Amino acid sequence: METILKVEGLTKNYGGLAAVAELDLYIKRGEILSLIGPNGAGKTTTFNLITGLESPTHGKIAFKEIGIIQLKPHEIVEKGIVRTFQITRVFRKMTLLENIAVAQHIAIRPGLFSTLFSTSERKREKKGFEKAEEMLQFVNLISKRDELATNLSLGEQKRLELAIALSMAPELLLLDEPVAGMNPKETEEIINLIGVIRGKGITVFLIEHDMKMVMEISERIIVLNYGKKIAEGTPEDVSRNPSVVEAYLGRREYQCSN
Amino acid sequence: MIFLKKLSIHLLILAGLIYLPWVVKNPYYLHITIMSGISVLLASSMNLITGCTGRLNLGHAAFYGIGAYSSTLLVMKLGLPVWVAMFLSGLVTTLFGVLIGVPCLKLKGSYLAITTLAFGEITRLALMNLVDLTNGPLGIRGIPGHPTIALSNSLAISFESKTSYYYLLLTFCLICLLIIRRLLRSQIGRTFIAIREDEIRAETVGIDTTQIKIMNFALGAFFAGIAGSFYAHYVRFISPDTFTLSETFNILTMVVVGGLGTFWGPILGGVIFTFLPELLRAIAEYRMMIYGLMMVVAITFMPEGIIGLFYSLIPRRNGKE
Amino acid sequence: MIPTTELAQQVINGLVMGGVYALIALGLTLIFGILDQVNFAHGELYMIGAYATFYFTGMLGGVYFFGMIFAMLAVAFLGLLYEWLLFRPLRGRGHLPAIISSLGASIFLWNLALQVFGSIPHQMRTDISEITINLWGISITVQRLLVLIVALVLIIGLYLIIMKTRIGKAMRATAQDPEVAALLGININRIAEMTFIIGGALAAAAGALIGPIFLIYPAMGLMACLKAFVVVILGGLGNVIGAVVAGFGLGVIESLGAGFISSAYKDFFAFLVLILVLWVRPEGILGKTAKKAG
Repeated sequence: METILKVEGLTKNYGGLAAVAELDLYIKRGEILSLIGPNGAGKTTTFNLITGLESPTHGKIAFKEIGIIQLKPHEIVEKGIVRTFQITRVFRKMTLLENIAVAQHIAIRPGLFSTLFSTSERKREKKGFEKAEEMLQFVNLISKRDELATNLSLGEQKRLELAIALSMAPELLLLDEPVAGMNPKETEEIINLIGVIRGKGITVFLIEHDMKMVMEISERIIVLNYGKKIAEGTPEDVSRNPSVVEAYLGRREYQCSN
Repeated sequence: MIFLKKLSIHLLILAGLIYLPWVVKNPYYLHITIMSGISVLLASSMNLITGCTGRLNLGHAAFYGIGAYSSTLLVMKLGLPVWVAMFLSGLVTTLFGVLIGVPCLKLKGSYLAITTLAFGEITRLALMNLVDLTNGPLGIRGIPGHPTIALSNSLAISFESKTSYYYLLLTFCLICLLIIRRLLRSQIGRTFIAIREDEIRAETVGIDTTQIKIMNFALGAFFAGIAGSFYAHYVRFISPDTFTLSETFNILTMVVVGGLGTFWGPILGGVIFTFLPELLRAIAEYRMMIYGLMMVVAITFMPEGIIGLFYSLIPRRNGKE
Repeated sequence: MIPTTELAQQVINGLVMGGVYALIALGLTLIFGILDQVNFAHGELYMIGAYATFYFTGMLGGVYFFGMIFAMLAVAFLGLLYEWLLFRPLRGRGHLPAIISSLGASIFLWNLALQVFGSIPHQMRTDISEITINLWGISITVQRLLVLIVALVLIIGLYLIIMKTRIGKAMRATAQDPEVAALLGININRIAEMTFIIGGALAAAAGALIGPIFLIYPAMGLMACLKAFVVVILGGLGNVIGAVVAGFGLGVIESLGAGFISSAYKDFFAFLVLILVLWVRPEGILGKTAKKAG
């Protein structure tokens, strides 16, 4: 399997504080890698750095052998890396359908004049809506297609985020706490969806606090603490690693899953 | 079915508009109607920037003014035909829109509001002080109106009467509004709203927010500019006093009370706030006070404006088309 | 060479104006820092403060000091009204609604002032406004000196309130993290009221102080508000020290610019500085607190 993402020496300093320090990691195509660690360990910052929302103080990130640090977030999406957010960020005043349709921006490539004068543009927009419907079916939200996103429950918003992410045809999907705040039934649904996503060949990079879920679905786990990688390996390896246990118990922030 | 219903309502309105000069013969009222058409364009152009994309532009009157002055100067100093000048002035204003839009890219909310206000004031002062070019505070008189279009040897459309101006404006407005409507319903229109709702999220769904924001300013500027050009050749006199901060507030009131971010809101607002001063003649000194109050009430209790109120009474899926 | 006394004179004059700018900007930056809302009607607090001082001084037998105090009280109450009627209903709805609403309130208020007070500017005369004293070759009117002194007193007073009192601590906590503050039992509505009372009082003081120096007219709040915004942006939205530094700084820059370059375009130095700074550093010179811009 090829290495699809390679991170070397990634560092992000805020003033004197290192949010991420000399992080090295790699992800192979098709695998599912989980990133865990106590609160504030630098997990979301790592995601921000990979997706271009923040720039690293130094380090290298290569996606499919090409460096992506200089790229802007929308360019990184074009390359094939898509993420969801820990606190859901859907477009609240748009309907579910429109939320996904707007994410078809790269597929549609709208231009000012083509919008006004060409019919092929309209066709592409129509295709965008069809894709949106397809995605809503997939996450089981099709019945609410015309509702405003602001009316959704938390679990539904997370599913919408997933649908938006998938609609962008990602090669690498970054999921930031996809089941945070969900009950066991909702969590189970998401786990199933992730399974189907992987079946389509999409590589998954996951941040989660729900240990049960992480142990259940991960092939490999990386543990961060204070911005540094303190462990890496299979779920069995990591769960037996004493520094991991200490990092969690020592901080008393270890979240038991429900 | 809904489509046919909508279509018939639209056709009804169109028929009413076409028939209007038969009913309204008084040239003064026709004049007000024409001015409301210009207001509709101004409100719609501001809505593109402030309503849909959520970027408060307090310098919008500057676009109006640049359109008016550039069109006038193109005709009077360079001798270009009026129709050509109208289009070119739109492009000139668009250029300004980009020039102002680029430094404003990183600004949001009140930073953006103040900076655009500054640009607006600087523009007005430039118009006042570049006397050689603009004749300063005295303004420019005797601007040529729209020339007669000769269709054949005996048939010509002239724009002497208010009625013919009305039809010119109507055609003009309809074309512009159709374009704006297409934009609002398209992918580009959706990206505007996405940027308003959550700019960072918009970037992460693949939208090049820089490009779209510049395009947005450019579009708002373009339509305000040609509205200005139309104004110049219709009223035949312009001065910097028309293109002030007060005018921007007027336009903002139209958009906010009509319905921020909607298609019909600015249209309704434009019409209402052009006719309202006429009806409120008796209490003209209190006009601005009433506008200010209306803005407060509207944004607090009816954030989607009068149009939003209207839509919520009709069972629909959401507050937009 | 520029004669140093003339330079010093301009600087002193600039500091006087700067004190006024700082007082107005402080209220604005507090409202943004603590409540995350923008008050475009802040200049009207300043304007009404000036008019109120004018009328109260007249009613209270010409004692300027009492006039100023009563004006500050009255405008503090007006600030409270701002909070109750304009800002509380819009809390939590993002930045744009508060901007538009306060814009509407501003339009309403200064046009109201136009109706009530008329468009002819008022001139406030106090017994001391004419006296000039001479310090080290620099002449300064007592009024201007008073502006500096009162401004400094109020600024120090504000500093003490924010840093030493319980309510000041609560304000700082709310500015840092409103959710946590609420969890700690801090009543955000009370904090908001306090913030507007303070902001109103400071703006009124600025108006009271400036009244005897320049003319009082209904639209005076507009330009003052704009300049206050420039100060707040330069100093960083929510940054109290920044507002003070930038306020005095802008006063001095304006004064020097008007004195040595052109006095006709005096008001534009503020805008020019703003545009230049925002071009280079969109967060303002001194940056901001953890809040997002705008």
